[in-house]
Amino acid sequence: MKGYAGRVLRVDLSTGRLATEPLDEDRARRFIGGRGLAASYLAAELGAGADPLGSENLLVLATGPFQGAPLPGHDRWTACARSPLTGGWGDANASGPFGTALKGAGFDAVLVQGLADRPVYLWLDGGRAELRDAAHLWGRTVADATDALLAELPDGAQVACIGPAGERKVRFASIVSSYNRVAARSGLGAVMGAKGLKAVCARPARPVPVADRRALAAASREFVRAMADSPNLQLFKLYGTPGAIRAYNALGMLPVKNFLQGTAPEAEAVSGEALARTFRLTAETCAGCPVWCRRRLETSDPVYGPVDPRYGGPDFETVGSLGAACGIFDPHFLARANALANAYGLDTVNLGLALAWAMECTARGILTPADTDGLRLQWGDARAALAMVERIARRQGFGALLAEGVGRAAREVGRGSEALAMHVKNQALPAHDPRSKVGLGLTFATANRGACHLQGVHDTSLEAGILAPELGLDPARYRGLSRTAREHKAAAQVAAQDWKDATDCLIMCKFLAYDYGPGSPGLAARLLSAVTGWDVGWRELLLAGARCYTLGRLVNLRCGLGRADDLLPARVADGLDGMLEEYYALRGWDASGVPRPETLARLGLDDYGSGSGR
Amino acid sequence: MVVPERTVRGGASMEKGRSEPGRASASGEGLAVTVELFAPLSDRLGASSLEVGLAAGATVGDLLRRLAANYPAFRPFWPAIGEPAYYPFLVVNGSSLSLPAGLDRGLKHGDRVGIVPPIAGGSRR
Repeated sequence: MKGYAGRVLRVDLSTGRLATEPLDEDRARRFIGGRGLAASYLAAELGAGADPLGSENLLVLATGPFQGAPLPGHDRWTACARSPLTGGWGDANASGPFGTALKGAGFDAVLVQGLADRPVYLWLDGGRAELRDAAHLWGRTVADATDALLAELPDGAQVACIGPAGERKVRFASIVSSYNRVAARSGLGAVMGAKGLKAVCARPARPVPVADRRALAAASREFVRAMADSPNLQLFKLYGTPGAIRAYNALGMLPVKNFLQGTAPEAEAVSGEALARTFRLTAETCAGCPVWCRRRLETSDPVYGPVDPRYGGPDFETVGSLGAACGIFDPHFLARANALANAYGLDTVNLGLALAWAMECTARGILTPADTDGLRLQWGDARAALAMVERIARRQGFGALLAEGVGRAAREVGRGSEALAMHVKNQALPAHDPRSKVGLGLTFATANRGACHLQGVHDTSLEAGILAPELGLDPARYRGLSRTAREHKAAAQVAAQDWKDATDCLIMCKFLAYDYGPGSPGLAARLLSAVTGWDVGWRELLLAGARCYTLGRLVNLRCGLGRADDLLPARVADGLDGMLEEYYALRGWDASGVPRPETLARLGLDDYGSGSGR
Repeated sequence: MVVPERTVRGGASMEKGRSEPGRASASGEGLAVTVELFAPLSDRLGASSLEVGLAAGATVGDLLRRLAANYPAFRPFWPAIGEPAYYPFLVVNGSSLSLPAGLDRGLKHGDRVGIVPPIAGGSRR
């Protein structure tokens, strides 16, 4: 089978047993890889009562057919499990060479269950797997642990590890590969921490088999040429993702002060342009990618403490959540906060909005310094915020409450603070105001992992006329349609959710794929056909995306998440009225948000049954 | 009278009162607007803003066509002939203006028009 390692590794940390099993071609073609492949195991095997931080939770690290293939946007990997943050489906995706290493070590996916009785790490090399002692790594930051692992492993090894936040089961702890390539959302670092798994390390030994190198090269060349015309990618190349901050500020789409405002004059100080003026930024990119969207940050004048350049510079979401949402428009704060988040292994979005919620609670008198360990968490207070980051990572005092995530923290504090918590399914909102992107707000409400801007389509793309014909986005309908309009948005979100899930199956960088970049479903299908030798059309690709999306829904239903959880915080919910019912109907779900049997049959998922249990 | 564009490098603020547009307004023969630029347009033009002189009664559409005619960087958004490939996002005096409905909106002397290239935004965590 071309494009795949052809094997899956099962790890039982309770017994130390390691076993491999073949990846059969039927499963690969139905679910492709990445998140879809992970979903095929989770939907089949995860018990309804599995504690996200317990032995029964199934953690899947997965790759897809694109990893290791010579095409742009392939340098990625995914992690999936029951999320300790949402209580339901959890996934996160990261860039970097770890994905190619995992597959090149001989495994399309690693499935981890059980709990280790002492810290361990998993070493994958040449088709072999080994659990090794990690007692000497426990308690160490991401960079320290990564350094130590690289020193004891052969050249070429890649590391994905957790920091102290994951060890302490902070519910939004991340998994960090290559120092700064972060699988951040859903708290999957806490799943590793609970299992006693400090790191997974892999060395790529085997070349990835590709079916038709000539066809792949031709499609890749076409892909790269198209990237030159993308305004988004030009922007990212110039300033990285923070290059979008000025535009978002001008259009009123930033989450300023916990989404109280959409814009602030001070935000100019943390724009991509301002970061480039303030720091020495060096562009970095993934293998084979011409975009160079990432930044290494060096500063000779660290105001708030050391900034290790290996942790990278803050990206757009980090500027939005730790900066704008907290009213802290200070590039030096963002450099330090981003480095701390990556050192401890924390998702910056959930971190930023937990702090922003506490700041708004302070402003409204709901919280006082007596509640918050003597720190006055005021809007714009960089030093108080940084002190609280340290306390969250260590679960100290009030930090232990924020470590539960903004949704749980608000329910614990009560006194009206629940209305100030900006989350869906306990996953904090990314830096895109749903009042300015009404259709994306529907995706925030319905996405399986909670508020997510990487699924569905941004209303700004539709309004600008950036459309993909394969998704049925008729220019006459969508071009010029206001980003705040409701009509036709549910259909666009359904189609785009299926497509974005397909990219997560491949795994293909979303920046290069519609609607961020020029990679269309048609082009992706050509790339997949060239890699695998299958004759795959874009309809089959989108169907696989729909399967992936639906399996995530089934997992959520099994975990007790359903219609009552498909909602936005009232502060930003202006446009959702009526859209949810339309969305369910388009998806083939009943009025309570459960996929109908005929829908599962159409998707070829009869064997996964309804979400009520298996 | 139509006033030629002036580019302002490195800063978004305009120096009011000493520019040609001020005279244009006083003469009553035309108007001038400040165009605020966003990346990647600003980088391609090497300026954070432009002052653009237009005939009295000019519309937003006239402004975009004028820019496309004079600056190749604008042509992806508004080719010299025909429909734009993509609509940019416009912000006139701080308020968003939807396209294409807003193309007929009249401009006044001293208006500030932000032109934001199409963006999706975000990162991929």
